[in-house]
Amino acid sequence: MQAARGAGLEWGLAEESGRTAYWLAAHGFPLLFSAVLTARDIFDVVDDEELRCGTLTPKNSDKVLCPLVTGTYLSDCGKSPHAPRRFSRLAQPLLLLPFTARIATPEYCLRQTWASVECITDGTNLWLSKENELDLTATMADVLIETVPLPTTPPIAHATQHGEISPQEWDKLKTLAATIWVPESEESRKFGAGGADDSKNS
Amino acid sequence: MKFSLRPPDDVMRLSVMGAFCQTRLSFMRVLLRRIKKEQWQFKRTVWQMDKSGCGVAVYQATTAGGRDYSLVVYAHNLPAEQRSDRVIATAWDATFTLFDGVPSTTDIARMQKQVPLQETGRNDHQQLVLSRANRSARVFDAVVSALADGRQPTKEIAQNAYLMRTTAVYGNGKFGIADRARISSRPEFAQPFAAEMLAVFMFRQFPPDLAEHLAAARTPTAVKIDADLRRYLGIGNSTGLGMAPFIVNHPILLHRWMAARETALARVRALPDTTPEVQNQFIGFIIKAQMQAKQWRTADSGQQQKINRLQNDLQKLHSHCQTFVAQYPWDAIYQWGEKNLSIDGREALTALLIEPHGELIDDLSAGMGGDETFIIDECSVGDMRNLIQQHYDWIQQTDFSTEEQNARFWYVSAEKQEPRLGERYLQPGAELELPLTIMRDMKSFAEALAQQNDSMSLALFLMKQPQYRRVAHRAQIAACFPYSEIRDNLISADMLPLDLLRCKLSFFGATSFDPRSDRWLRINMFQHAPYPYELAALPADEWAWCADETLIH
Repeated sequence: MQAARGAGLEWGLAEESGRTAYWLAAHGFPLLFSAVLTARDIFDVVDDEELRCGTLTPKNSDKVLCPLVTGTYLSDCGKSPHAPRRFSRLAQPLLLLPFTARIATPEYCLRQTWASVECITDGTNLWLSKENELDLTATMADVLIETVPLPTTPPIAHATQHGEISPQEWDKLKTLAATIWVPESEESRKFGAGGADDSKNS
Repeated sequence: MKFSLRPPDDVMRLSVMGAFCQTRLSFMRVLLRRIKKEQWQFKRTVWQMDKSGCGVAVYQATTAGGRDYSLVVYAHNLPAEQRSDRVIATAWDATFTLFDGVPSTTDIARMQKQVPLQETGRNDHQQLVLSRANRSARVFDAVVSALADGRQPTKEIAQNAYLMRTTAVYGNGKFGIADRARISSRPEFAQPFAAEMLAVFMFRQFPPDLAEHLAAARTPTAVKIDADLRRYLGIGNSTGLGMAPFIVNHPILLHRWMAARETALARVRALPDTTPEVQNQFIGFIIKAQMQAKQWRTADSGQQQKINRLQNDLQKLHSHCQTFVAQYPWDAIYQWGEKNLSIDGREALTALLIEPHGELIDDLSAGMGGDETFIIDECSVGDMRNLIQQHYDWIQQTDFSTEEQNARFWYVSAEKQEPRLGERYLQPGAELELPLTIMRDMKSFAEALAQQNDSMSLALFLMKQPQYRRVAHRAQIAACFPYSEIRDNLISADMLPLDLLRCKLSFFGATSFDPRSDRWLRINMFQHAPYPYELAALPADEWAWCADETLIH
């Protein structure tokens, strides 16, 4: 969350980023956040008419959709039949998956597809197929989300409750997070914690 | 008759929350009741300590379900000049971790390289809690000397009712330890902070064990601490602003804690009558509370005034409760308290009214956990405007155009990597403010909504103006969880951070609040409680209001 805030996201989006990162890590997916958070030009305003048609496309052909902004919008629309379900030129489509999973339920099972990746979720479990491993971490793709029946085959992924993150990714996130920390100053030392260490006295 | 809960406008005020006392629903007490009921087993499995007090100890708990948890303690015998309670300290007298299972000798050796490093160590998901503690310089050595001299350290312990003080108790994924999701489905950890409370409860045995070990190393005629005196010892804790934002950032959890407490009070007030036995129990608790207030030590003048008021109120309450009215006696006492007691007295009365009614209210603790998952419902701008009008009328009273109402800002300190409180107009960094500005942001959100067409989708509004997403989320939470918002301005000049801390700590079950400034304080935990090895033979829940004037003068 702090890294997302450090990258310039509003607090509400930064919180969503934290939840998304957690979900991806818990499900064993690679974390690609720093790439998204540092690419400022992917935020693009869409127009209302498009939204009503159930599609989302960047207005300028040289821009891409931000998966965090798009995902929070998808989440905010919930199960609305008018919510966009087709996203053109979405950056890091894997990052949309936690949002898709958030609104999915066993009764409202959703399939998210991009490139050769097809992922079905009922909110808890995942059914994932991919022809090309690299497509999972595609930097940009068109994405479709649609309702599907609950699969009868066993799911292939569920939360493991602890995830891995590469040291390089961690360092990038930490560097971003550090940009929202306030350095010590003479004044902060005076006011900050409001007290000196007095462990010697008791 | 059914009594409604006290309204959030009365309760969700910092002045009220800052007067809370521990209750039967506090997490330490809930944990001990569970341990007793389920007959957990405890044993010290490792004690490898040299004569100077350096080494390793392992305390093991086995739950009714056969699951093991091990508290692994590394003792370090820190030179006095390195002893610091500050969160940025780099060395401590003891560092410890709660291990999920029984650690092998390899695990113990591996963790010995990391746990003493605390924040800079590489911990893993088998560790559930990470913490450290320092000896109370004033008391620890004196207690060792007394024991070595063959006498009970009664007068030494009278000065300070703990031998060691923790400074941070980390859980929930901090510094590589297990995320809460790993353990949240286990019944023993369903209660918030249960793993942290268990770690502290198990650690409480270590300081007296160590003091006895050092005394015995000094002389073969050293004595052990008498069981009653040992029980008088709790575990100290220094805590400050780092924990304050939690209850603001977890609005659903805050609601659940508050709603449980308020429901408990309402249930007691709704009792149509009572028995002489329960009346006597209640009066007994008042007397214990009076003794506790008498023994409550603080150097803080503001806290001393609160204690004085409390002592006065408890005396008035004791006198008032010589007779009980026949119908709805507890409600009559509460109503009398509202008219005749200070806020500190009234909130102590709330805790005391709950106390003798365990069978009636203990089930409420089951509803105090859970996560913060809450998805924004699809709605229109007009719906959201109505919702704010309905649930945030209390924000109207504050004028944010004044410096006084904007005087402070919360931030993350680069040095400590912990939340801190700054003075907006006196120090740099306000542009990096944390979003604990709920009132100000909600007001701004309401103004922005007023500029839009009511039929517009909120999702679209938030996509275009994501700066309001956080408060939109909170507003929808507030509509479902009425105790989710603290109804005061958390950045005003007169805001007392201690009130936030005391509220949270009272839900933990802490006692002996001793402010060291307006921003940090010391507390005691598990004072008077049975030790793990005593729980099979002693009551699990008769310690919280305990005070023993015959033991400590």
